[in-house]
Amino acid sequence: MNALAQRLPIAANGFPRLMVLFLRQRQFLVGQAAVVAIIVAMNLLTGWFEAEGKAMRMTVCLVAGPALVASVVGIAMWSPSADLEQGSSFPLRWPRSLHLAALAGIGALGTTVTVAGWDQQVLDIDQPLMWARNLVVYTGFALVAGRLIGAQVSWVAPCAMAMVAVIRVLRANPVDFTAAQPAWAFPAHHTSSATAICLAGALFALGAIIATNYGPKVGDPAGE
Amino acid sequence: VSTAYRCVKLLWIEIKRCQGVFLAVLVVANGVLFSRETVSGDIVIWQHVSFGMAYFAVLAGCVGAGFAAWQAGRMRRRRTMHQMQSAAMRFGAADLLLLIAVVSWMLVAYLAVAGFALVIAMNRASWGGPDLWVLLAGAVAMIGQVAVGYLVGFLVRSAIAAPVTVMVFLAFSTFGGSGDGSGGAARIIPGTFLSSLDRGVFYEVQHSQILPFALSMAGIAVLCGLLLLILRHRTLVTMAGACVALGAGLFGTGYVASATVPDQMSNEQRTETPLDCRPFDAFTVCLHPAYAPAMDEIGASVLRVMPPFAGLPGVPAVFEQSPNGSLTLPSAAAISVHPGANYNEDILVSTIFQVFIEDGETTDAELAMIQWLIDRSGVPMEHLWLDETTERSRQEILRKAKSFEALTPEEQRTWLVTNWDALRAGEIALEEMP
Repeated sequence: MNALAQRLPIAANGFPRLMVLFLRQRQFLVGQAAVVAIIVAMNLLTGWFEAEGKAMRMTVCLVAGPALVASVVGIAMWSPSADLEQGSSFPLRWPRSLHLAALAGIGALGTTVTVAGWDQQVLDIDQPLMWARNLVVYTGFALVAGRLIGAQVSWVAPCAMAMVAVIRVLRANPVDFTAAQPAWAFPAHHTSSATAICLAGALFALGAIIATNYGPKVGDPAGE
Repeated sequence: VSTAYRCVKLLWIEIKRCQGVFLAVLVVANGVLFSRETVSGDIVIWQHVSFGMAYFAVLAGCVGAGFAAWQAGRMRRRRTMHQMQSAAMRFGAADLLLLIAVVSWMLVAYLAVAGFALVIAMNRASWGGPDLWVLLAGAVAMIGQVAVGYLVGFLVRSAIAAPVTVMVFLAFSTFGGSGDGSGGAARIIPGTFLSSLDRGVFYEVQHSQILPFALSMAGIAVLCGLLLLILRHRTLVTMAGACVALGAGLFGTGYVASATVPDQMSNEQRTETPLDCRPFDAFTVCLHPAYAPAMDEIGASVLRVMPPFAGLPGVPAVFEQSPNGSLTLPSAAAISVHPGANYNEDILVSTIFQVFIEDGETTDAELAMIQWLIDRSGVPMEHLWLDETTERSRQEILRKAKSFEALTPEEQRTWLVTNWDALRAGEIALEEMP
């Protein structure tokens, strides 16, 4: 009790400072800039899609595009002093959670709003929901991969999954999201699929728990 | 000889340490999945398998480009640049060896995937053989993508260069350009170019366009290598030599690219392969030999739908496969044959169009006959034909269709033979139907 009473003022005074250092170390602004750049690029794509009216292109963007935002989130989890953080007496769960929430939240909100502005008549799906669901899926993949193989290589997992999903969707021409898909290819499922939404949520929860409690793989300072 | 030996040995070291084995495993796993989609189903077409594998090479090339972009920053990430300062080997050579190592892993993976698909297709396809030119085009396109990816990773010093490269390549390599292969940019966009060449078995693959495309892709790869050398070696001689080579390469690539304008689909490019025809009672089904496995299923569908109309004027006696998927042909009903097709529905719709709809306004009696045909075929179709009728006449049409169905086959046939011409001329009122 005495120890806790001693730590509380330190935590209260030191947390904002710690948070600033924490975010600066992880190049938070660079990560945010990357997410914003993706949103701007997607806005530019909107005009292109509407001009071309290509359902296939929009499909690829909806199925694979979120993997790019998720990759940025996964990479942004990398810390140059991950070894030191392991020995920190201060619990880093909250800074990590805030960092993840800020990055993924802005990415999800910005890009989902962007997709909502697209022509909703092209594909027979709820496009913003598909984008948001797949972003959740891929972010979960990236966070789990960050713990297993290192944060800076974590982009491999969402990109590989996106490739699988694109291959699954491109089977049919014209695009048919109602076609039967195996459960594991849930980024390619129709937006009405409850299985896909549940799996996406579970995967993200797993990734978030791992990332906030343990952080990315230690002993990987150079992201090799 | 010793220099070549040293290069091979260094390349072998790079191949072992570039972690490309993980990439290869990933690509092969995806490739097996992709191949299963391509060679599954009753009908396996060599041409589709060949183009499918080439297209997969383009998709894999996107991931390969990202991996190459990642590898390009390896020395920077590991902070081993200073070690190269004192090495006998030049920086540029090290980059090229690493690039070749990544390309080698990608080629190994592609060969494994293509081999898997070809072996399955060999056992299942009924006609034709693999198109090695198309497979080669896919491989060269993949090499070009990997080389560009490496250059991007070299120039952009950021961890997100790799995933951005993957996604940008996925978006533009596969779906860039106008989509039909026309336009200047589409000539060197691998996915768009290959898609524009795949016109089905009724048309010849334009091999004359593949070689220039492959050369332009190889030119892009060489240009990337030269740019790497230029950026690494800033000495005058190297710069001058590389610039000359760069200019020549650019000119050659542009020239070759301009020669690869895909021709529009035309009947002159039709293959001469005769169709396989087989009689089914009074009807004949003609298919391209590549689609022979579908013959029995289509014949069964014909026998399910058509017998009451056999020999009547205007009713097709020959069902011929359509090269372009259209519903009707001047001399025979046309059907679109593809894996997973519902032939009952295709034949039904094709017949309805050709017999009842194409020749002018459709009367209520003809609509009743169409409805009877739909009910008889067992194809679950909405009452689309009746959309423009009033509710009252719709009920009457449905009732007449039911009462015609209640007749014996002999009575149906007799009524059709007697009243066929008048029915099609619109001279039979709904009340005159049995």
